[in-house]
Amino acid sequence: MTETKKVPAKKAVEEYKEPSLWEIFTKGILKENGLFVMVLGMCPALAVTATFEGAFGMSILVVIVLTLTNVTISAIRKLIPNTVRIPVYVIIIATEVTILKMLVSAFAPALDKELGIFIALITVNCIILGRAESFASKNNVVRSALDGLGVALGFGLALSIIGLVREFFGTGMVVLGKTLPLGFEYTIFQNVGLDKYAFSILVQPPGAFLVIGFLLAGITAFSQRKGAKK
Amino acid sequence: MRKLFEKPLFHYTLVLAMVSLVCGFAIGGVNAITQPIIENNIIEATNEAYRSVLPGYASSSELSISGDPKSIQNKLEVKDASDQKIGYIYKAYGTNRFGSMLIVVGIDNSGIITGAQFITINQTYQVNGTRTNLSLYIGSPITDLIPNGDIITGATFSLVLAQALLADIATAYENTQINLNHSLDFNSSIWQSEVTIR
Repeated sequence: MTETKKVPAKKAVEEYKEPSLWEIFTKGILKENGLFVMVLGMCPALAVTATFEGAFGMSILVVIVLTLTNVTISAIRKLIPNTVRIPVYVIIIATEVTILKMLVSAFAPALDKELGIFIALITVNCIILGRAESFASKNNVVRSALDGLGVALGFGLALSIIGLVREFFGTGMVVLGKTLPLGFEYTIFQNVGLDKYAFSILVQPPGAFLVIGFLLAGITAFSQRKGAKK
Repeated sequence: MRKLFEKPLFHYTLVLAMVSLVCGFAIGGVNAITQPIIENNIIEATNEAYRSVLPGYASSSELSISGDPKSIQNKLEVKDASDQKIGYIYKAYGTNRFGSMLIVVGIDNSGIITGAQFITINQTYQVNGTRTNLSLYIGSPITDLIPNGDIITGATFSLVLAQALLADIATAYENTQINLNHSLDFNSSIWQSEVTIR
């Protein structure tokens, strides 16, 4: 039987060191990555990552929504009664997503067509409500903004990696500027001949499960090996 | 009055009402700015789709959709640069449990689907498969829809909706042909009666 060392409550409070702004920002990117570590927000990860541009576009939208939501909720957190906090968060998130959807439809119609209803479905992304409830409602605006930005960048990075892997191995090339309003259209690896060796299943829905499964397995194996060395 | 504010129910209602009001105004404001741009984008996308679904498109005239299925939003008779009728374009809208879709289908004079495109596609499942499903029908006669994309794409529900929309377009196409034949018969009967009178 193992014995746990009891630490007096007062000492524990003294020992607790508040994380720095840098730590708040970086933990969401790697250590507590929303997709690869927490396995949250799987719906967009499976649905919109068939192309790199689609995944990257969704990443940008999530970064905007998550950062804005955290800032707004943190700013008004003292005015919101505890009982109605969840409905208020939902109203705020839904409003920001609706506004963003309108802006995307107006200024990036190709991205709107590519992502379709999944822009509106950012509202129900559990990472956004999760960060609002667990962090933004308890911290000041600067810390909440950095937390939102970090978590969203981590989520976006994961989405973009999945999109890149699926498109590259699924088609043998990566198209840029077709969906996002970049002002140019360019295909990477177009004339290399890799398309002959492409696994087209990777751009189909089962490909999302396969790629995410392999990436998750790789990351878990890496972190376990790292943990064992320590 | 102060006591009233202290009552939890009133306080909660007030907070929710204020938040909703602010959010409503924000949405309204952005909508006022973006709505004309979005409408313009849809018109441009529709015009581009019209040109791509029926090769040779130069001009079009709108036909009446009375008597056609409800999903048909627009019916156009298309002419080429030499003012010859080359076919029809149909715009149809439908919904299923995964969302909605707005499609444009071009049909030539012999009833063959020359092109099919999505203007909007709001499906939560299998968006790429849905696109593939519709493209499979290009080259098929509208009145005899054989291809079945379900096995290829696995997008069953969107395929069912796409097929339903195409079936509605087939009905509308047949209505157009009936009206056309009717007017031709009517014109020829007038011509015959004119001949008889002479």
